[in-house]
Amino acid sequence: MSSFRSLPSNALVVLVLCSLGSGALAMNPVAPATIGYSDLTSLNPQTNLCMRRPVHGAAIYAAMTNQSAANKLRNVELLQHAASRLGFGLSPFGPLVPGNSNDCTTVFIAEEIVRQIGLLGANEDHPHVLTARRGLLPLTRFLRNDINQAVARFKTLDPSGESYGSLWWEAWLQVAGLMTYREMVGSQGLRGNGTIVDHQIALEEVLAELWFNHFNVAASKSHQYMYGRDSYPEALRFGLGGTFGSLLRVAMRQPAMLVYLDNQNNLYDPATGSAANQNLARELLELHTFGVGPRESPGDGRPYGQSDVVELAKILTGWHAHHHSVLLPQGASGFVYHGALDADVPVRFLGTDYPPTGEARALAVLSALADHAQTKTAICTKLSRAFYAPELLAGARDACVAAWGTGGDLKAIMLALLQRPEFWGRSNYRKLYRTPIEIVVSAMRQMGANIVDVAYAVSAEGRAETVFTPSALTPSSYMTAIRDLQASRAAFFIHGSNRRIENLMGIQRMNIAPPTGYALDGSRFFSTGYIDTVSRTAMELAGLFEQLHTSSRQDFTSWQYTRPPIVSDINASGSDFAVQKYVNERLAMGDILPLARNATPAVSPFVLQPSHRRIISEVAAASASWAYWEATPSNKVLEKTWAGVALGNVEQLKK
Amino acid sequence: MTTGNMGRRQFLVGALGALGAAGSLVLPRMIAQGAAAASKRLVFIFLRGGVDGLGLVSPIGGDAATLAALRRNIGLRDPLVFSPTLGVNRLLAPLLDDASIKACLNIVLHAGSLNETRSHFVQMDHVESGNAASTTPTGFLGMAANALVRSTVGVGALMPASLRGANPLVLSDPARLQPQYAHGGLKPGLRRAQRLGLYKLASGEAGDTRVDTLARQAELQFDAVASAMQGVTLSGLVTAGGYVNSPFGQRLAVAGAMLASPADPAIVTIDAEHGWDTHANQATNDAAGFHAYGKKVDDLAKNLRVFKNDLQRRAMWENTAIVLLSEFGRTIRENGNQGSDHGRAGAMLLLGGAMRAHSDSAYRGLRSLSLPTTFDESTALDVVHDYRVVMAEILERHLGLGQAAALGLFQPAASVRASDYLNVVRTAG
Repeated sequence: MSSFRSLPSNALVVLVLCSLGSGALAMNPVAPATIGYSDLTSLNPQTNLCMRRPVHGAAIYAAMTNQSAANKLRNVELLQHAASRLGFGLSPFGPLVPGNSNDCTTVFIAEEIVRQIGLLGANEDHPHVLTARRGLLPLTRFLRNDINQAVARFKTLDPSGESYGSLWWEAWLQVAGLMTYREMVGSQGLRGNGTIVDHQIALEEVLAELWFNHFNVAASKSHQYMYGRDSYPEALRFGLGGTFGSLLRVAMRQPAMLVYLDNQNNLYDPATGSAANQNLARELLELHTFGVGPRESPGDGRPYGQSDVVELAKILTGWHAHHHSVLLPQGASGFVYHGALDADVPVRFLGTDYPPTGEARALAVLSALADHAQTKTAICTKLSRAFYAPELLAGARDACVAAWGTGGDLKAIMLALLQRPEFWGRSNYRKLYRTPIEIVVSAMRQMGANIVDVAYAVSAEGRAETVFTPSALTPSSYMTAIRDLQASRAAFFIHGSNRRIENLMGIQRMNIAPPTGYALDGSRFFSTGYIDTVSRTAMELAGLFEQLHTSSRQDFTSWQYTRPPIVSDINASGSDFAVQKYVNERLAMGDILPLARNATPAVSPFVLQPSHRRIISEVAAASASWAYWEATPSNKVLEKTWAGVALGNVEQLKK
Repeated sequence: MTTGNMGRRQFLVGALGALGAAGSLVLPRMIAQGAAAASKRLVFIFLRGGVDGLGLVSPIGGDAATLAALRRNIGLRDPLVFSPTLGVNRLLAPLLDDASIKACLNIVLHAGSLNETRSHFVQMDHVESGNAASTTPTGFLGMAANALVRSTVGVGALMPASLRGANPLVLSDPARLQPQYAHGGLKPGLRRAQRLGLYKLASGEAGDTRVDTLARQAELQFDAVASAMQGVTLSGLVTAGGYVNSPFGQRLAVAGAMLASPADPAIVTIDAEHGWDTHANQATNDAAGFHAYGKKVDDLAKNLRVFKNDLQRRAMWENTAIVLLSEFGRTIRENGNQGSDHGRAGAMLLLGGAMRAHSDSAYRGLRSLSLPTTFDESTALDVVHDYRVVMAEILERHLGLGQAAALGLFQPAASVRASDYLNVVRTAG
């Protein structure tokens, strides 16, 4: 897989399908070459600056620190800002936590951003994540076509439909579980001494979700084309480090997209001179590239009209997918170009004539769209919205457009967006609202989701992927295996998290019905019901950690994060002190509650209102508020209650 | 508003302070249970995706033969006679066979938005904002409810755009109304007031006022209805009401319960999920099949009939108006995939005891369902009746909004006129 990194980006698309070896894209972070974990405490005593200076991240570091006094963020705020905009929020594991923030953590983040941008599209799961995947999400380990061949076999062997119906559905649910799990722990690695270190930013995960949402496909319509090791989200991941144009080509040639937008039936009827179906053509223009609807009146400034939709539909005739039951060559994606069904006539699209050159014509149109001025504006606006406050959009969008190059160089664009002082200033700090996915994943991260726990659980439960090898499955062996897996408490840790996302979004992730996907601005979800549901989400998530505690993690010494000694803290110093210590140290929130000991306010990345601090302390003190049906307090009960309350807080809605 | 409520409302408004236009607070009207029957209500059902109007109704005689030739696969087979000039999809039989519904069922043909866009998302925005030319950040139904000083409910997971500007109680599951509810192994230790307290600002605190407002409104709304909804569950409502247990049936079941609750909403919106976008394999007449149009029509008709029973049981049918519409209809000629593409006018369905039954000749300007003379793949029914004219009439004559206020909900200014009303609302006598 290391050979990927030296290939030009447009060759990636061709090679991707041939190289799905261990084929697991996510993250497996190691420290940047220029600053290691042990360098994080090396400050120059006179200047208070890090002894290690930024090298590759110098421009980013400069953007972070060359700010007016009013706009400059403290080191703890820079850490929080990076974690919540470029990742899924802070985690308490390792040295990059609020209590340790200083100029070195700032340098580290700058170097790490550049390191991660360089690896976009070429990462791999950490071995512990792979273990979890093999044990709990085994259907993400086999090729889609192999799974679909098993489905076809089940259909003939099991007329009840139970086994293939289950396999079809479980397979995509496991991909959705993998997306969530990677977001929870993808920025984690292990140090030489076996302790967990979280890099706090996870650009591959953030961008993987952003582009999936942009090229949205819904499982209820296309699931047979979305799952497997070569899943639809995975195919998009391979393109994260290339150009927008190559990513567009990937999306438009994926069976999942073609089925979702009905193009796999789009053929040309010479008798009427029309394409069968306009759906893909319409959304390709309106949502995927131009980002605006067609002209509503002449001269309203929009770059295309209804007639262009009709003409583009003709260009896309014959651009199909094999039915999911068809046996494909190893590694084939399922895309098929049916020349006989294509429009064998010249077409005029956006003022350009396209002679009938078949597949090449459609590829030429996609390239033209990728470099169209309206596309640059639309995509850059969308990317800017993901990272910048609304008032700062215009400058960010312009910087993105300037970095577009040919086809939209995604790495150059990310660098351009993150090298700007406006990104790192106070006017961009905590100005956006989290999406439901971010709310759930960030809460899980803060409560201690980590790569070791789940891997242990998999070993403790004795799970392996081999029992799901598609070619060996029969309807009854599959049903036995899946019922056993569905009873897994460790798997419930992941699927239960996805249920909370579903509660907030109103639908499961990967299953948003309209091609617009969901709003990037979390406040678009707001309603009274949403706030009520969000206020209990962290408490409900806290219960999921129980799924791991009893099924694994017997050996605390090999896992370096010790359980917080809450009960003994209460006995020694009282409930008020104990909850403050727990919340401050264990939820990666810094010193948000005033401590009896000397903690400077500068350690906290944000301020909790006094009334909120009071509620947290009140709940901590009153056993009637505790979350579990236990009469006497225990570490488990208190930890879950306190975490649930502290994270059910308005500050968690923001990023 | 009764004088008894006035004092409490003033107190609450005073305590919460003034709010800007976009964040206007509308408090649920606290009324005694018995008074609910007299309230006027609107149930607004948005079938998203561009429902094929010609799959619901088709002409008898006249253009019937032309249409059959253009819609060999998706045309209506054996339509039921609805009026002298119209036949409807057989799958709507549950509505026609029910005397109460037949007495008030109306289909407004050639209904749609004046805006010509065929983009789902742009047109939904036009429809829900009430702005035919551009966009407005508020929803016309939300603003209507604010002017009526009555509450609103959105059944579904997300707040619909039509209710923006009001503070609707949005829910899909009544169990969540309970102040504490047990989840899994967790005990309901934390009270709603404590939970929501973490989102509210105490006096003198500065912070997120938007979230603060929502948290306060959530507490008011939920506490107002929670005791009336003790023990009420979604599955219980579906079973007790006899609904077909589909997403649409579930939403109607919840709507019925919320209409009868102390929230006493003037407007309840129901979002039918975005599945009507039948570009392929429309299966107009077929009640089976995954995602097929016919399956959805069948589900719609059966569940609407049950909804009528539910409202009659609750003595609310006579005072309720039910509207079903979509952002646009679809192309007249079927496409090459036995489906249809985006079009312009569709059909609005109106029912409820407050509505007048269909009459072919009852409206000014109505003509029989008529087709243009030439067709290509994009030809669609033209819009003769602006859906906003129908809605303005319902808001004014049924819900009691003043005429100027009703017409003023829509942009551009003066684009909707009372002189265009179709007399869809049943009047006394």
